[in-house]
Amino acid sequence: MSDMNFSFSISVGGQSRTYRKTATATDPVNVNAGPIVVANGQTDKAVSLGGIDVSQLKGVFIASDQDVLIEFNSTAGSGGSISLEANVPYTWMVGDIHTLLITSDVTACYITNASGAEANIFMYFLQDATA
Amino acid sequence: MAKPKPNEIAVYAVFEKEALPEATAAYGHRNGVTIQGYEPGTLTLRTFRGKYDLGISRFVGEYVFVIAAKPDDEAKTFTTLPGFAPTTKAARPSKAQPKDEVGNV
Repeated sequence: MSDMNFSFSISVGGQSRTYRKTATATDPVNVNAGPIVVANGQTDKAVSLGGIDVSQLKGVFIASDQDVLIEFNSTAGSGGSISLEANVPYTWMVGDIHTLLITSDVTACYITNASGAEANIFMYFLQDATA
Repeated sequence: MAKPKPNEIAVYAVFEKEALPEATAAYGHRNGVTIQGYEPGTLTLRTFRGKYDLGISRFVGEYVFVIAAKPDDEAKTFTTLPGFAPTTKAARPSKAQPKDEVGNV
């Protein structure tokens, strides 16, 4: 068993709340990458990310400290594209109301950084080999 | 977008991902034509900073230029940048240009 735990907090109008959710895999396969450093102005930096089976994915967390474009499987994003905002992680887990933005098994990803500063990116994937 | 520093100007631009290398090649180079009223050789391109809009498949952001105290004729220059057409019309008076050269005495 392995878990990927997500925690969301909000503070507004004098009220604070925290919500947690957990993605669980009985036969876990973790694929982690980072920090991936992408220089300012770099186009399509290739990152090896083999072994991600989209049908087995249980949880995804991707974060960057700068705005970056992440494209999966090709420089045209044939496996999906994410325009990631600085310090706003992309999260997905089984049961989310939003659709997973990775659309096919991942063999590689390409990152473009036009943010004006060097970017540091972290990626975490949890998949279940028994799924 | 972050506010430009006092010695900088920022100019809005939109271009495709494939054009980013052309923009980065001009980093550190000075303007070969007038931009926003600043005479050739008085602006150094520091960077482009923007975010990719998946809806229009383009980067949306701004070029950031550092304003020099005086023109540099020896510096490498650029005349065009992706997604942005430098103007030869003075949008505002250039501080770097002597008044008698623009008939403003």
